Parts: sequence; structure tokens; C-alpha cells
Amino acid sequence: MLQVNKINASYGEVKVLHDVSLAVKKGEVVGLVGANGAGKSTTLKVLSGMLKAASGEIKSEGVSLTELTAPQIVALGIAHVPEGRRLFPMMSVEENLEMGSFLPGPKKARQETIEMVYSVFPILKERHKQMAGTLSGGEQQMLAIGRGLMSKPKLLMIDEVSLGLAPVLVEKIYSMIEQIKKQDISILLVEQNVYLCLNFVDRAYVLENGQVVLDGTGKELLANEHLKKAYLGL
Amino acid sequence: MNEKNIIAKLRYPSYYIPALAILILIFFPFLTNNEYIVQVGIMVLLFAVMGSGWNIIAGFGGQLSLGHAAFVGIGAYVSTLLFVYLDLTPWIGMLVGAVVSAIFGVIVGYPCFKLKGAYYALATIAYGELVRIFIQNTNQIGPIDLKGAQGILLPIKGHSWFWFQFDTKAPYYYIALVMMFLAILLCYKIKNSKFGYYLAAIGDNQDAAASLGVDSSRMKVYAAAISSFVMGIAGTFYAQFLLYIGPQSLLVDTFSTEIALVGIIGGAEVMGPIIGAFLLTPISEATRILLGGRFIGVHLVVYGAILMAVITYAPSGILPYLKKVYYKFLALLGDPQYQDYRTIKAPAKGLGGGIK
Amino acid sequence: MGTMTEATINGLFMGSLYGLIAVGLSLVFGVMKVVNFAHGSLLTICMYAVYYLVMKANWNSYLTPILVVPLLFIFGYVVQSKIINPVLKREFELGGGHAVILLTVGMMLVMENLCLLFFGAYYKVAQVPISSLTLNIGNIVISVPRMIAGIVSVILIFLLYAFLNKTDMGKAIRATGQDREAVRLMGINDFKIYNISFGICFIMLTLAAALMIPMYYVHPSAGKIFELRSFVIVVLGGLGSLNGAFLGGIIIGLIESVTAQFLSATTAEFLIFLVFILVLLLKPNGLLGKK
Ligand SMILES: Nc1ncnc2c1ncn2[C@@H]1O[C@H](COP(=O)(O)OP(=O)(O)O)[C@@H](O)[C@H]1O
Ligand SMILES: [Mg+2]
Repeated sequence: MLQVNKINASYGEVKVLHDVSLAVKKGEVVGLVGANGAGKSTTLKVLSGMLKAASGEIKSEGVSLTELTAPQIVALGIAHVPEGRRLFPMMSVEENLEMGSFLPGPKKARQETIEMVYSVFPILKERHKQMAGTLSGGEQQMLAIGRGLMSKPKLLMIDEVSLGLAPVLVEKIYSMIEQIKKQDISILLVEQNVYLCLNFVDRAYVLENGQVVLDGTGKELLANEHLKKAYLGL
Repeated sequence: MNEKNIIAKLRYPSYYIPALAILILIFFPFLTNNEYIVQVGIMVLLFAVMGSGWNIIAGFGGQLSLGHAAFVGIGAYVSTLLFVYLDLTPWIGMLVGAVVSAIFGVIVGYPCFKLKGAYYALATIAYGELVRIFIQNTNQIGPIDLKGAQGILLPIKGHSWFWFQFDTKAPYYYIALVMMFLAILLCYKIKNSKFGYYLAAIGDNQDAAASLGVDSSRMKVYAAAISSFVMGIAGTFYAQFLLYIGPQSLLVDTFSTEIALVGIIGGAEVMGPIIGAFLLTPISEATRILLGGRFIGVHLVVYGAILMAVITYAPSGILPYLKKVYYKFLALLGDPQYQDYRTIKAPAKGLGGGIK
Repeated sequence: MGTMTEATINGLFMGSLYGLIAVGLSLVFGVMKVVNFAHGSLLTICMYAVYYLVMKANWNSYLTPILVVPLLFIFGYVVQSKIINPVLKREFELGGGHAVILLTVGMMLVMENLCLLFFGAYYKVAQVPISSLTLNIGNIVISVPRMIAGIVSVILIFLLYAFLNKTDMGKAIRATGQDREAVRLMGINDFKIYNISFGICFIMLTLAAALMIPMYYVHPSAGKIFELRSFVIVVLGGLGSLNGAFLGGIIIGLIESVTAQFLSATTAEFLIFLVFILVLLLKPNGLLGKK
């Protein structure tokens, strides 16, 4: 589904990613964990074309994404739910979802997809006329994920799934992601809550200072000594 | 550094070239007997002065003003009215006009300084227009004949230094030349003072400057006062030299724009507006002389095109590039100090944003 | 009493025309955060285009948009993509500066003075039959072209509003104004949206020009007075807000026509700029804006 080979990226002079490689297979849920500032968001930005990689290669189903722009990458079925959610605050819930299916392909299926999103996140249906900027944090996260789904992605990348959400809501969102997974959508999750993430995903990568230091299945990583010490405080 | 030393140093190109340039400037009126050309020279110097004045607030402080003609106008009107009604010598009128202009600069500047970016530029346009509309439609204030839209023709009171009136162009030229050197000196002093450093910090990033404890409002008010003072001085010269002041020539927004362009195209450094004036003003004067009155303003096509090109390709203005060429030239002439010209100073940041 | 009613009606008509002229300025600001200092000279170009079609080809002024709108939309699209976008892109990357404002100042100088060069400094007037038509109701006299301009302007502003709120493209334009990076993740090309928005600004100006030609002189700085009005109007209504532009237009139209009727045109002019400064200083986000 997605192969990332030794990408490097920087902001101006500051190098942030060093030879990051990872892969997501079809139907898989993959986690990307690491401390604040490790480069998780930057990795997603490079994958979705918001930031240009300095070197390295990104491929999806044989197509090279390295030289493509963000709009072209969405069109290939890779959706990015960015850090901070980046909703359109002065537009209604429904309009935000419509924007998610702006491209001609997804637009044809818009009505169906909206129904699907509403069935996963019923609260959004109740609030469909409300301005996105006035939603609660949890609702905004659901809308952001819903908007990502609207482009009918094959791969959904979600940044900071649980950040700023109450524990009950976190559980709820994860159960919703579970539902999304069932629809044959591959998922790449960025999560600061390492324990939660590793219990949920099929596989995960651990990022430290812009480098992948560990990878394996959720279970393997949960048993890893370094990881236990550094991230789980055990 | 003593005199001997300077003379000894004149064998280096980096000393004799500027010295040569200054000599040419000083003897310029003798190099030609064409009055038109001297007139062009005078206008160049005048625009260099006005551009320098504008640069203090806009270039150094980052506050894009598109209404600076108002300050020139105030200086010109004040000294002219004193000259016409009270027979006051323009030399004193010049100072009075400049002070009034500075006060006005502070009064309109102070409330506007909290505005950012385009809002500030819009406010400067608005007060520029207010001054123009007021003068254009006021024929009389008490006993004073302001002559509204018609403008004021200055009477000839005698060709002498006292009346600031001469029958040849050369004295005007030298007054303007001295004014330009003083303006350069002033800008140089400001740029290299703590005040100049604060201004630059504000222009770069106001919030960051504030967090370092720079009182940005106060700094901008000082800058506005000095800037409009310089404009006021230039205004008196304008009036005495052209012998006519009127809202349609002195107070229109295009005049403000022309002043600003000299600074923008030159660059936000001490010598920026000087270079800008030497490049641009001859274009405007040449078209005025060649095409006459029918196409007043046509030079602005060229100005506009240059501005667009500068903003697109050289957002810090022309000066940084000119400097590079100049340093290279000095190196070619064998100046030992400039052999490593490539490493000398990166281009500064201008109003057009950064080459970071 | 008659004169007050007449001044009010005139003010409303003029105000909605002002609103139509200002709405493109506000749209461009709302979408790309650029105050376009060339707005007035764009209007001038539109006015010349309509004028020549009326005078040389004998078109009815109100029909000229059929030809001029597509042409100038394309012109606007190209100007945005070839001239403004490169500078805008740099400003996004490096931050700060007044580059785009200054670029539009340069465009203003070039366009206004090219008009001077090509069309001369003369005031041109398209005297068409409708120009002097008036409607007399009791002792109130209403100029017909002005009435048409007022009413059609309201309709056009409403149509633009509907376009922005009901169509996907319109929504994409609004979304781009709110978060230009996020729209890229929706598959929307932000710079293409800028091109389209600038083209739409031209459409609105062309339509305004067609409404204006029967009653205004055309000359190289014909647009300038409307540009200054537009600045006042959009700041009054809140930069970027279309409802605001309409409301601001109406306010300025009323101030102008009532003051001109009872005091003088100069006082009206002065008052408009005074209001401008006061709004800038006291309510820079506009009368409807927050804070
Ligand atoms: N827009 C930016 N400009 C400059 N540096 C940035 C920017 N965004 C992130 N960084 C830096 O890049 C590094 C990685 O950031 P990020 O990818 O956001 O980390 P994470 O998402 O893992 O917390 C950090 O050191 C951060 O300071
Ligand atoms: Mg992050």
C-alpha cells in the first residue's frame, strides 16, 4: 500500500527527519509513536505532500509520490487528518465534509460517503448545520477524521488521535477507528499515548529524533525493554 | 584617522571612487551649461532627500507609508504662507514648516501605529487624502488666502540667499546637495544608533521586539517625527524652487507613491533611497521634458514596471545587488580590501520581504 | 422633505453599486489576505472595455458583459497566476514584508498610466439614450440608469453570495480563505483558487462597469475614486466579508448622497475619509467584526 524509503526532510536549515523508512500494507493499522518533537507530524506531512522531502522515495501501489503535490496525493487515495485538525471553522459540519469530497471521484459518491460517516459518527449528523469552529474538541476530532474519510481513501493517516481528549472520548474514537478499519481502509496512526496505540495497532514504528529506532508488532514492542523504560515508565 | 592617512588611502579604489563621485556631484553644474540637466540634477537630489526621510519610518521601521506627500505639503504650505504674508525668510520658514510637519506626523502617526501591514498603509492613504481634500477645498482661513485647488504662486521677492531665490539653478543645486548629504548623515547616525537598532527590530518583527522590551509605539513616534521633519524641509525647498505649490501636484497620492518608490526600489538601507532617486527621477524628468504636459504621469508606467520587477526578482531593492557589482568592480580594480568580495555582507531585508 | 427622500433613494442606489465594486476587493482579501491596491485601475480597464464596445461596436452597455466578462475573467486569472502568485508564494515561504501590496501598487501604476498612454487623458462619455432618462414620482426625480445600477447590483451581490454558499467551487473559495494549507489536503489547489477568485473580482468589476458606463465619464483614473471608496467600504464592513461590503457600500452611499444634498460634495468626500480613519482606528475589523 505504502512504502517509504529513507526520506530526509528539514525546515529551512534544521534537519528533522533522517532516513526514515516505513511501510503500510493493505488493510493494516500501523502506529507511529515517539516523544514530542520526534518528527511524527513531519513524517505525515512529507507523506501527504505538505512538505517536500529533501531526499528519499515514497511509493504507493507502484506510483512514486515523491514529486507530487498534496492535492495530487489525495487524489491517489491517501488522506491526511492533520495535527490541530485544521477544520474550516466558519463552515458548517456538512460543508466541511463536502470539502473532503471535492475531487470528482469522491464527489460522485458524496451522498453515500456522508451517510457512512454519519453512521460512524452519529453526533456529526445531529450537528450538521453547526459551524465547525463551535464544536467541542472531541466532535472536532470526529469531524476531522470524517472529512478525511470523505475522499474515499485507501490509506488514512491520522495525527494525534487522542490529544486533548477526555479518556471516555479516546475510547470512543478508537472504537470508531476500528469500524473504519473494517471497511478495508489502511490506517497510519500517530499517537503520543504509546500504551494505547501499541495495544490497538497491528504494527508500529518508534521515532526518536527523526530516526526510526524500533519497529515490530504491537505486542513485540510492548515487551521491548527500551520502549518500556523510555515510554511506558515501567 | 588623520588627514594624511585619508589622502594616502586615496590610492585605493574604495576611496578614490566615492571621492570621484563626490567631486562630480560638486562640480556637476559646471559640467553642463544646459539648465534642464541641472534641473534634473536638482530634482534627483530633492527626491533623494524625500526618499531618505520616508525611509526612516518605512525602510528602517517597516511601516509602509503611502501618504508622505502630506508632510511635504505641510512644510511647503507653512513656509510659503509665512513667506508671502509675513515676509519671513524661507530659511526660518523651513524650520517652522518642518516642526509643524513633525507635529502633524506625530499626531496622525500615534494612533495609526497600532495598525499592522495593509491597514497602516490604508490609514496613511486616508490622511494623505484628508489633507489634500482639505487644502483643495479651502480658499480662505481667516485672513489667509489658501487659494484652494488653484494653488499658490510664490512671488519673486528678490534674488538673494535671504529670500531663497536665485536667477540661476546652481545655488538651488548646492542647497539640495547639502540637504542630501545631511539626510545621508542623519540616516547613517540613526541606523547606527540604539534607536536604529530598535527600529529595525520593530520592522523585522514587532511582537518579538516588544518581548525584548522595545517600546515600539515610542520608537515609531520618534521615527515619524524625524521622518516628517525631513519631509517638511524638503517641502520648503520644493516651493522655493518650483515657485508653485498646489494640491494637485504636491498633495496627490501619486506624489506619495513616487516618494515611496524611491525608497522601495533603492532598498531599505541608508544609501537605498539615494540610489533609488538617481535611477528613477531622471526617468520622470526626462519624460516630463520630452513629452511635455500632455502625458503627465507616463513615467509612472516605467516606475510601476520597475517596482513590479524589483518586488518579483529583488525584493530587498536594487542596492544589495548594486553593492555586489560595486565590490566586484573594486576587486577588479585591485583594491586589497575587496578581494574576497563574495563573502562581504549578505543583502539586507527590505520592505518587499526577505531573502533569508 | 422631497429632497431628503430623493437623497436617500439615490444613496441606496449608489451604495449598492459601491457595494458591487467593493465586493471583489473584499473577496480577494478574504481568500488570499491581500489588499489589492490596483482594484481601482482594474475597474478603469473594465470601463474602457465596455466603453469601446458601446462606442465602436454600438453595443448596448447592459449587454457588453456577454463578451467582456469572459475576456476579463481570463485576464484576471492569468494576471493572478503569472504575476501575483509567484510573489505570494515567496511571501508564504519567507513571511513578512509588504511584497504583494507593493506588487499591486506597481500594477496600479502600470495599468493606470498605460490607459493614459493609449486612451489619452481626455474624459470620454458614452452618451446613450438611457443616460438622461429620469423617473418622476411626485416631486422626486430618479435617474433611470442609476436605478438600474442600484437594483442590478443588489441582485449581482446576492448571486455571488449564493455562488459562494451553494456551489462546491464557492465553498472551496471560502475554505481556502480559512485555511489554505488544509484545502490542499482536500485535493484543492490553493493557487488555482486564487486565480479563480481574482477572475471573479474582474467579473464583478466588469458588471459594475457595464452599469456605470451610461452615467460616468471614463478616463485613466476613473476607477481611482471608486477604489478609495472601496477601501473605506470594505474596512467599514470588515475586510473579507461580503455582507460587510454590501452594508459598507450602503452606508457610504447614504453618507455621500445625503451630505452632498444638504452640505456639499466636498464635505461628503471629507466625511467619508474621516469615517474611514475613525473606523480604522476604533474598529479595524469593521462595524460587524469582533473586538
Ligand atoms: N513549521 C516548523 N518550522 C520549523 N520547525 C518545525 C516546524 N514544525 C516542526 N518543527 C520542528 O521539527 C521537529 C519535529 O516536529 P514534529 O514533526 O512536529 O514532531 P512531533 O509531531 O513528533 O511532535 C521539532 O523539533 C519541531 O520543533
Ligand atoms: Mg506532532
